[in-house]
Amino acid sequence: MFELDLKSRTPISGQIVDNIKELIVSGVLHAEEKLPSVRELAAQLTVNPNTVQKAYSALEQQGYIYISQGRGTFVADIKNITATPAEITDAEIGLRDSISKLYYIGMSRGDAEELLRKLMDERSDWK
Amino acid sequence: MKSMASSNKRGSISGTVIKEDLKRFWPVPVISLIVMLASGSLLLMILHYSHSEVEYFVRKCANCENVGFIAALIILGCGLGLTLFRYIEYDRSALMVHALPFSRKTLFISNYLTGLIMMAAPLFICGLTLLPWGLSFAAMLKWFCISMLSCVTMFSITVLAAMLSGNTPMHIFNTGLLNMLGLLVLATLELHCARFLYGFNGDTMERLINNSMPIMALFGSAEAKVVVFYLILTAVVTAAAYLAYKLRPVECTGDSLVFGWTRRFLLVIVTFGGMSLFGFFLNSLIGSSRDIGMTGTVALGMVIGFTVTFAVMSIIIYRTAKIFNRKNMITCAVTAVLCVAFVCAMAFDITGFSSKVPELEDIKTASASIHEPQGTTDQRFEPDLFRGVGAGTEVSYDGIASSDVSSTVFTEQANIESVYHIQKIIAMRKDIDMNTDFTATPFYYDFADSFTMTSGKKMVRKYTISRATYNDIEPYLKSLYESKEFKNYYKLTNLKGTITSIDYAYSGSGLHAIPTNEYAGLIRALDKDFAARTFEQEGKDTDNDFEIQIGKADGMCVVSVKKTDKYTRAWLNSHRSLL
Amino acid sequence: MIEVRNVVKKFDGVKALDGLNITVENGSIYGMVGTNGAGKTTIIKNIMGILRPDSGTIRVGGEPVYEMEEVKGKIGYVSDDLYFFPGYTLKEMGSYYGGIYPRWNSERFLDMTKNFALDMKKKLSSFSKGMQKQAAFILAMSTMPEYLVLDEPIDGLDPIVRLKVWKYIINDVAERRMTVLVSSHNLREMEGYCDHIGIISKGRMVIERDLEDLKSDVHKVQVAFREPQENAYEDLNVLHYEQRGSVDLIIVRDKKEKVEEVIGRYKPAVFDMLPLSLEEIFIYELGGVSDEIDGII
Repeated sequence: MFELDLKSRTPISGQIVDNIKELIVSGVLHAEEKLPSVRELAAQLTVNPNTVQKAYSALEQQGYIYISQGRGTFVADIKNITATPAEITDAEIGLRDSISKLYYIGMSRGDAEELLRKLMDERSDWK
Repeated sequence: MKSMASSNKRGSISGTVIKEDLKRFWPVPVISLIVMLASGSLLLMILHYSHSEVEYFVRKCANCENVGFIAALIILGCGLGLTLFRYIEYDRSALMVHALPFSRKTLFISNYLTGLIMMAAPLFICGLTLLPWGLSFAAMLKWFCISMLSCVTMFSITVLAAMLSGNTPMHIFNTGLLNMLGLLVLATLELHCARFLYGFNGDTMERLINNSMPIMALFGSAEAKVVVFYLILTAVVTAAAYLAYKLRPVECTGDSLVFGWTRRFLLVIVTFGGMSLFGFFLNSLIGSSRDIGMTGTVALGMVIGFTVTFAVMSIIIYRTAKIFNRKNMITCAVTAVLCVAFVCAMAFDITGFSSKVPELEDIKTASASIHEPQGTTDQRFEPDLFRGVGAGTEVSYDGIASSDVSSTVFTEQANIESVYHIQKIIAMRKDIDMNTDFTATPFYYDFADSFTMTSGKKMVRKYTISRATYNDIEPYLKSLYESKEFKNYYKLTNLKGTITSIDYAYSGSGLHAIPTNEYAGLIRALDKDFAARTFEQEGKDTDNDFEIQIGKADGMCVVSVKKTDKYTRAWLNSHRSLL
Repeated sequence: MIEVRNVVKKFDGVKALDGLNITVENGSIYGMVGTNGAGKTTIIKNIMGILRPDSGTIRVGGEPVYEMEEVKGKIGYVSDDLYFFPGYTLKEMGSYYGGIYPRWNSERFLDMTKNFALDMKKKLSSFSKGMQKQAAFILAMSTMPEYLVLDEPIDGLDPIVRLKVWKYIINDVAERRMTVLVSSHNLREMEGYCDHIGIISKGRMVIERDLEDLKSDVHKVQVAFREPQENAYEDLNVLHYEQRGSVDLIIVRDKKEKVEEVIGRYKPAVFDMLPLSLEEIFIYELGGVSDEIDGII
C-alpha cells in the first residue's frame, strides 16, 4: 500500500498514520473503503503488528478510520475532521524551519508569500 | 495446524528418546554381540572340537571364563553408560537437550531403559546361539540373568560416574575408578595390613576382593548372598545417579567434577591410594617381600607417591597447573595428616593386633596348622576330606583352598591350651621375628592358627617365624600332633564318603590297584601306624616314592608311607602277589 | 507472558544476574539489548529452564519453567551455540522434534525448508553456519510455539534470509499472538521490529519501555542562540552536553513539549530537535551508567 522509510527517525507507527492520512485526505482511499486488517498490514509491511495496532488506534482516535466488530476496519468520512493543537504545533515548527530557509536563501517576502499561495492552491479542495 | 505426532510419552518414558538412542548407539550392542559370537559359537563352528571338548568350551562360556565374553560384558555395561549420557558432558549438547521439553526424570529413565534394552538383546541372542551347542535352556537362562546383572551393575556405576563428572576424560577415569573401587580399596587395605600387621591373614580379605568385581563375584560363587548384594548395590547406585542428575547444575558442564565436595574427596582417596601403591611398589623392587613393618624404602616410596599423586590429581581435577593456591594447600595438609595418621596407626599397631593373645577362658575352639619344617609331612592332612569332630573342618575359606598350610580344629581343652601357648610365644617374640630378614636366613616356618571365641568372634593369624621361635613352639606342636583328637581326626576310617578305589604307587612302576576286599586290612594297618607315629617321625623318613592313593567320589586322599610305618610295610610284604 | 522477577544467578561467586526483572507481554516482540556480559544469554538460559536461578522466580504463561515439560513444549528456542545430533539430517532432526513437541507442524516444516532452500537430506554438519541457523529457526518455528526465544539469531545471516525470518515471526505474532523475546546487538534491526525494549547492564534491568515511548522520552537537540544564554538548560534533564562552535548539542530526557517550551523562552536562532535512534539511546543511557563513554557521537 505504501513504503516505509525504516532509516527515518520518525517512529514507524507515526509513518503509518501519516501515510494512511495522506491517502485518505488525498482521496485515494474513499470513505467506507475497507482497510487491511492489522495482521494483513503487518505482514505486508513486515512490521510489528503492535505498531500497526497503535497506528490504527491513533487513526481511529483522530477520527480517520473506524472499526466495526466482526466486519473490519473502514475509512471514515473525514469531512468533519479538525486539526488538533498538537498537530498544529508540529506543523508550526516544520513551517518555521522551511520559512527560515526561504529567508536565508535570500528570497524576498513577496516572493515567499507568492510561493506559499501557489503551494496552497495545489490543494484544490482546501476550504 | 496439524500435529504429526503427539508426543510419544507414557508417564516418564519417552518413546522418542528410546528410538533415537537406539538409532544413534546401536553399534555398542552390535560390537559386543560380535565379540561374543566370535569368541563363542562362531569359534565353535570353525574349530572342529570333539563332543567333550565342545561341552567343556560351552561350560566355560556359561561360567564366563571366556575372555571374549568378559570383554563383551564390559563393552556393554561401561560402553553404554559412557555413550547414553554423553550429552551432559558437552556445553552445546547439554544446552540443547536441557532446553527440550523433557524433565530430567524422563531423560534419566528413558536413557536408562534404552541401556537395559541394549544390554538384554545381544545377551539373549548370544544365549540362543549357544543352545544348539548343548547348553541347556535352564543354564542359558542362568547365564543370561547373571550376565545381565553384571552388566547392569557396571552400567549403573558408569551412569553414576557420568552424573558426577563434568567432562568425558574425567568420566572415563571415574568409570574405571568406581567400577574397581571395591577392589582398589580392599587391595590397598590388604597391602597395608599385610605390611604392618604381624600375623595378618589375608584369606578373608582375598575372598572379599574376589567378590568385589561383579563379573568375578557373580560367576565365581553365584551364592544367593552375593547376588542379593549386587542387586541392592545396583538399585542404590541407580538411585544415587538419579539424585545426582537432578541436583546437577548445567553450568558445571566442562568442569572435571560437578559437585565441589567430590573434588576434594577424590583427591584425598586417590592420593592415599597412590601413596600406598607407590610405597609398596618401590619396596617390592628394592626390599624384601617378607619384611614386616615400616622401612626407609617404604617411607620414601610413600612420600614420593603422595607428592606425585597429589600434584597430578590436582592438575587433572582443577584443570590448571596453578595448584599451589591456599585452598589446595590446605587440602594437601589435611590429606597428609590423614595419611600419616593412618600409616602411623598401622605401623605402630595401635590396635595391638600383632601382640594379641586371646583370654584362655574365652576360647571355644582353636585351630593350628601342624606340619614339619622340612616339608616331609604326610599329604593326607586335608581337613575337608575327613568327618568333622566337634567344631568341624576348618578350611581357609568356604571350600576354596588358598593357604598352603592346612588347619585342624581342636576342641579339647588340652589342645586349645597348646595352641594358646603357641600364640603367646609367637606374640612375645614378634619384635624379633618381624625384623628377621628371611632372605638371608635359610630357615623359616609358616604357621597359621585361629581362635573361635565363646562370643562367636574369630581371631585368625598367619605367621612366618624364625628358627628360635620354632624351637620354642615345637613341644606344643608335638603334643598337638600326638593328641588323641588329632590322630582320631585323620585316621582313614574317618574319611568322608565311600572309598571307590585304592591304588599304591611306587616309583617307576606306576599305579597298582588294590582289590576291594583287601581295603579293610590295608586301612587298618595304615591307621595303626599313624596312631603310633611321633611328631619327629612325621618329619622324616618319608619314602617319597611310596604313596597310597585313596579315591573317593569327591576327591582323592593321598597317604604317604613312612619308613617307620611297620604295619603297612608288613601288610604290603604279605600281599606282594597283588601288586 | 514471560515474567522474570528478581532473579539472581551466580557463577563461581560472581553475580551474572543481580536481581533482574523482565516482563514480556503476550503478543509482543521484546528486544533485549545490553553490553557484552550483561547477562542476556544467562537469563535466556534461565528462562528456557536450562539453568536454575539462585533466587527469584521465572514464569512463562503463569507457570514455572524449570523441569516442566508442558511449559517447555510451548517455547521455541534458537540459541547462539547450535547443536544437532552428530550425523543427523534436517529431516531426522525434524522427526525427532516431531516426536517430542505436541504441536509439531510437519507441513510447515516442509514449507519452510523449501522456502529457505535447504536440503533436508543433507547432514546438518555439512551446512554452513548461516544455514544451520536457518535450520534451527525452522525447527523452532515448526513446533508452533506460543513463545519464541532467540539468542543473537540473526547475526550472521544475509539480508534476504533475515527478511524471510522476520516475515515468519511477524506472521505468527499477528496470526497467533506468539510472544517473542529476542536478544541481539543489532540495534537497528531491533528498532525496526520490536515494540518493547529492555536494556540490561551488569545483570540488572536499566530501562524497560515500549520502544516508541522510549524514543519519545529522549531527544537530541541542536540549539544556537544569538547571544549566549546563561543556564538555558537548567530546567531540563540533560544527559549529555557538547559545544560545537557556536551550536550546542544536548541530549535531554524530556518530553518534546517541555523542551520546546524551555528552549523557546530564549528564542533560539537554531533549534533542531531530533529523535534518537535506539543505538544512540543505548550508548547515552549506558554511557551514563558506566561512566566510560563520552562524546563519541
